[in-house]
Amino acid sequence: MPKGPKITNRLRELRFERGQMTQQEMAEALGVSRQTVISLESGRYYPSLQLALQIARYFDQPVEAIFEMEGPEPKE
Amino acid sequence: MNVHEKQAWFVLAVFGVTIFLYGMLTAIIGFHPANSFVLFLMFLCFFVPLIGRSEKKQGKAITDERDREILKKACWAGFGVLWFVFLSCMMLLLAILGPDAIINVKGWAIMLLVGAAGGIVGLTQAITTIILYRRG
Repeated sequence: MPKGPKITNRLRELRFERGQMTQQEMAEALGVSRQTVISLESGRYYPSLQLALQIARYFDQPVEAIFEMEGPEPKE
Repeated sequence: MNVHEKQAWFVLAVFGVTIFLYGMLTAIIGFHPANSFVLFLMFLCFFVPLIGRSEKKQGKAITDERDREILKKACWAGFGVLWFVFLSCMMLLLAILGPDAIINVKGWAIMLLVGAAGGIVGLTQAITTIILYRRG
């Protein structure tokens, strides 16, 4: 599990919304391995900003609609 | 299992077999310079890049950012452990022989030390790679 605040995601949900897409199909579309998709979905691996934006573009959603950071809001 | 995991398991297997054979020979014939020939088995590690070569050529093997991160961590772990071992040995020598000691080292011993350093790095990298892939 990565260190720092916990980040949850809706990848699995979005994948199923997109016509029961398999992890392999999603991996191929994003140019990563299936193992990486599994790790992303389970929250064991946090993507780089580049991959996060790529995922957001792929699902046509803003990044914050897919990834959410738990914990207190940063102070203003 | 991806290419990097296969390579790590291969390195681990080579080390495992080498240590096992060396231990067995030592148990049977005792400490003998001839036992050292078993260590040449470690040269099999030079074949590591050949593992998964065909998969890479066919474009089946993907190395993505997670793989690169794992390999980077494994590399850091390998050299970190080597540095720790090096410092520990230096401190131990200093403690045992004292600050005025002069050490004569033969050429073959230097070769052996370089080989051992390579072994420490390779083995730590392999173990770290396997652990990090198992963790997900």
